[in-house]
Amino acid sequence: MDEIVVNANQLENSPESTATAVQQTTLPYSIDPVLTRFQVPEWWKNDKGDTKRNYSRLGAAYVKGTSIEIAAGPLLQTVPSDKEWAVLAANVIEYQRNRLVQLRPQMDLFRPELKPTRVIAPALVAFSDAEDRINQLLATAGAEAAGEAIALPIVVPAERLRDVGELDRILACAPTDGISSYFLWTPRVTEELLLNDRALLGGVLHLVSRLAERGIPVGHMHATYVIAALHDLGISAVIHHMGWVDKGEAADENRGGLRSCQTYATGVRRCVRFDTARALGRSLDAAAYMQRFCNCTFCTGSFDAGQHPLDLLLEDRIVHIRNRPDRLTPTSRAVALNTWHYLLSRRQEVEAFSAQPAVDVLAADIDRAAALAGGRESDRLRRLAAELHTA
Amino acid sequence: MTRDRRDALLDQDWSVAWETLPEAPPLVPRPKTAQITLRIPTRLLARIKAVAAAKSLPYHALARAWIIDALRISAPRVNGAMGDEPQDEQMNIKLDNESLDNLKLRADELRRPYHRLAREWIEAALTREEESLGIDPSPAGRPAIKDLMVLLLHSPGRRGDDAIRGMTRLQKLLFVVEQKLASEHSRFYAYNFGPFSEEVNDAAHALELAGFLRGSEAVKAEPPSFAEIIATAEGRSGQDEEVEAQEFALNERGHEAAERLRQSSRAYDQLFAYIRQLRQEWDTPSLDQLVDRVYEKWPSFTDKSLIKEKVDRRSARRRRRS
Repeated sequence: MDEIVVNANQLENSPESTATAVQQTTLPYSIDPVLTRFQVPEWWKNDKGDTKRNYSRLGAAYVKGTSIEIAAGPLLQTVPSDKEWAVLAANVIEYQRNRLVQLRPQMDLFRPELKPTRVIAPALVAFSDAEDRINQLLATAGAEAAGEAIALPIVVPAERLRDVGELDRILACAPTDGISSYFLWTPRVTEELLLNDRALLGGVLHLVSRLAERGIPVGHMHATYVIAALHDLGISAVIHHMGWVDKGEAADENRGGLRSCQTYATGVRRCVRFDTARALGRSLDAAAYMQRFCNCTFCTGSFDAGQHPLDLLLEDRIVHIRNRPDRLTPTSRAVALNTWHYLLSRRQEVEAFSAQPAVDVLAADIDRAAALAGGRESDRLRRLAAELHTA
Repeated sequence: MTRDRRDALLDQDWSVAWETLPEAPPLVPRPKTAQITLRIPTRLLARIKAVAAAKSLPYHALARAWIIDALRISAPRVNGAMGDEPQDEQMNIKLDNESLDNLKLRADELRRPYHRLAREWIEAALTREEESLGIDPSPAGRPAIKDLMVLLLHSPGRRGDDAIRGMTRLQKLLFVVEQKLASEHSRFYAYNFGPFSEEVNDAAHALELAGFLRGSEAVKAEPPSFAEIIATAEGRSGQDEEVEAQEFALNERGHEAAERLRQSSRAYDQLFAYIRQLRQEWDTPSLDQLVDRVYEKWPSFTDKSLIKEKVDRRSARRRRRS
């Protein structure tokens, strides 16, 4: 079932429009408290070194009733005691439950209250044993404050992901009591990294299988195609970003700037540059395109409307920047269309892995990638199939 | 029992014996507690929860205590202030049977349905508690920018058209409204082009997503069709080039929502009348004129302005001419 996960920093950035969007979709929602963002100063500051307004508001809500000077330094150094960590955890839970209720203007009071479908425990990126101890404390205090089972994020940096011993220490600090589900997240670990570094993929497989053994559902907070392919090994839910360029979803925010000319090529299950996509799919007729490149609602509808979908998806323009070389960038329309195209493609992928064994889905996708782009692209998926087979 | 014997018993006159019979025990013992379900407006529930949170009490228990207190002092009936707000929420309150009986008795004495009496007592006690705790009953202590914006767009402009052209004009007019209502703790701050609040952009986007603005369609839950995808993308296609100033105007749904808001309470009705008056006064045909007046009246919001000198020169010229 579709759900929306709203990042708390996004909610604080544009509370009214985010709440309205959530309300209008009528989909279940939850709020990711993004406590991680207060771990490293660069993650909550703007280019001038000031605390961003949305983080000021968020921080104030999280430290209500404590002596914590949030955003005065790394969170681990600014929380003086375990007692205050527990209050912070309770505040984070309260924030998720009440933020959208509190901000309702008079004109929305006629509508039903917006309540999250699940409460997510506050958690830190597990850089070391120090964070592991705090994460355990936050999970326990969060579940106690919630009075119900809550979802627990387990955020593992790449450095610890390669070491099974480190992973077991992290797992030992992840409680089972009061936990309704686990959500894994491995910041900065892109799909390409996972496919090219067996130790990293091995680490993810280790985490997924150990957590699945506990009988508690395991999800992934920034899933890719490779993560969705782990369905048979224990991944039962995926949350994914709306951006189609895989950056491994770092714990810090993506900075602004011009979009690069990339599109999600469904046929090879990764994003490629516009010129590559054009070479792969522009010459294909409707039947061949839908068989090899993509058959989502957008692409099908585009052919029905008499237009090749790549003409819309790959629309670009030159931007003149003072004292810098001209830059080719997608048009705003292409950016909007690529967002939809990516979401529709990912939906197909998630549905496929939910409905069929991963090996069957991968076999079909390998054939498709080979037909579209030849050996290199299909080899990539073959490697994944081999890893899954071994696992 | 034979048929004859049963007929004989039924034919017999038992009326005298009936009076002497002891009362039969209840077949099912009456439960010790009963539950009443009150339908209440959403805002009232939010207020109860806020007070309960401030007192660190469960809100059901707090509401029960207010009813028991009112019964103890034989409180009179009170007219609620929630008017005819829709009662979209329900609150289940457990009472012991004796209290429930007393509530029904008291309601009968006061010629009020007991549910309504209980709701009114709760509201009266809530108001007292809010006063003693210093809690402002309005959602955030003042109207949200989104409310102000809807009422502003619901008001006719000087030329009879209700559309507001451009984000700058919308920002400045809402700034004027906010300052005139209460200048303390402004949500606006000095920025590159004078007073600014990102809440205005956010609220405008919210109205667009809700499908309340002309040319907008409400967000849906289902995946979109190709035509809908194209429509949303086309809406963004102008952002690459210099575009004409965006026009903000409510559509029919938006006006309906604004009217509902206006009628939600007397306070909002008065607020609308005031905003309408302000718009007539401040929404000048020339944007420069509006900006100049704002800069002149609220100079502390122009400290960081990149166009301050230009505005000052323009204002000086205007003063010389007049």
